[in-house]
Amino acid sequence: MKILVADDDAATSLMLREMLRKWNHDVCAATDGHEAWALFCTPEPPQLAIIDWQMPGIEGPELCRRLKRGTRLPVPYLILLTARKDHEDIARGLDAGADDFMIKPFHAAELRARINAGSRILALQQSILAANEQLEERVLQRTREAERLMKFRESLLQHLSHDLKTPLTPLLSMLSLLRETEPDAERRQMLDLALGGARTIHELAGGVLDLCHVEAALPALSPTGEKLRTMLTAVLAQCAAEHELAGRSLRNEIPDDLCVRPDPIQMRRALGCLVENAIHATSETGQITIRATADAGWATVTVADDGVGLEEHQLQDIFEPFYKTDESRHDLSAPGLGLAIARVIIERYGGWVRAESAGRGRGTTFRFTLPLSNIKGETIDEKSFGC
Amino acid sequence: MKKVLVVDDEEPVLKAVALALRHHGCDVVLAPNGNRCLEEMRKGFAGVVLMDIMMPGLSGWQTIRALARENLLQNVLVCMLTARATPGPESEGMEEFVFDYLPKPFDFPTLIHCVDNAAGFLPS
Repeated sequence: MKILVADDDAATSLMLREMLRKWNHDVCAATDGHEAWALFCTPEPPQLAIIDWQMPGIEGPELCRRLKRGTRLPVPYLILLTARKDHEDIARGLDAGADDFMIKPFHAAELRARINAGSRILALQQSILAANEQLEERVLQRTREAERLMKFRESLLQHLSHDLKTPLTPLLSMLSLLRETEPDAERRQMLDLALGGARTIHELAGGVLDLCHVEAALPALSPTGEKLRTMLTAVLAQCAAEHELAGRSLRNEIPDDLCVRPDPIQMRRALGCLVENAIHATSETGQITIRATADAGWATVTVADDGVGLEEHQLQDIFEPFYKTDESRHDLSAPGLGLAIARVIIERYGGWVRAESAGRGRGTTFRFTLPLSNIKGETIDEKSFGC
Repeated sequence: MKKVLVVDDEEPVLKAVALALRHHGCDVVLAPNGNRCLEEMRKGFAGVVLMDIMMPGLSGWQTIRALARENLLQNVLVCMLTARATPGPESEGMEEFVFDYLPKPFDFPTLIHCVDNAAGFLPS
């Protein structure tokens, strides 16, 4: 081990150096504080130092303070050498950054034991540094790997959106052309089946892309407050146009004065997913009611249906992508992505969403929160937004 | 007879659209890339142009830029065939030359509706 002896007293210095050499250490010496400091600034500084308290230039405790203040690693192990026996002095020396203390005149066996103790600490430090370096390397590797995967996902998405939709164009256009011109009823049925399959692939691809897009997008805020009731009205109109509602009743009971800031396109998407889910869960005479209340800067919205309901264990899982309850497993038209999309959007804007149900056959209520704003877009609780 | 020029690098799309439109009674011209589209237009094509966006070589937007530069967009209405929901930055300034957007994939009735609608705005 490379050890520095910093002492202006020639006799003590010589004795120490002799002993250390005998114990097979690589020894260097300094006769004042500045010289000692200079040795620590070399490319191969000493690992351990025995430093006299009183030296010309920089005194022992001050040298310890400077050496421990530095950011260079590994940190040297410092033993202060002094004739002072006062407890206050010992405390002052240790506080300054010394690791150990030896009182003159000292005993060789004690010095040796203290140096051994120091080398144990230094070995521990060395292994921690090595482990740390390994960890850093691993973190760097993982980060690179994660970045690579993100890029891969991005390009995969781009290709999916193009390459998956491209073959669907001839499939959908040709099948629907054949379907339209087919006089035979049985063949029309066959073509309907084929067409249904192609449309499911189309919806599935669209759903996956939607989910990835909302996950990748930053939460954008609308410049003004958007009325929840107005957004829901648009969503219900779209649902009525796209789905066979039969005798279902969809009621918008959101008060007219509730405004929120999320980007209206994303917000309508989330509301649409929840309403569509309710439509899928209800019978042809089902009741779906959407209400909202305001409390302490937050809107709480409920989408309640009287449909198939959920078991206790399904309440969490229902938000997972591709999750399907047993009842709807046969239903190819619902890819099971809507609730996952709704959750991502709602959480993006600082809210939460959960499902509540009294059990199978007893309907489900989806409850979600969002920070309220006024019509000008001033948020009532700014901190609630993550952006 | 309605005249339609279809520009798409995907052969199955080109063939399917051609079959569908011919079935509907259209006169269909096919171009597998932007340069072929330019050639057809220089020969004096007039009618509806269905233009794919993502193509190797000249993209749909680059093709439109070239057509605009040569002043070849006088007698046509362009409908863009899009696979992505949002147009990229490439389309900047070119939207004014586009009459309609037809998102891929489309079924037969949607295609016919788009073409008929655009053709209705052209002098017969």
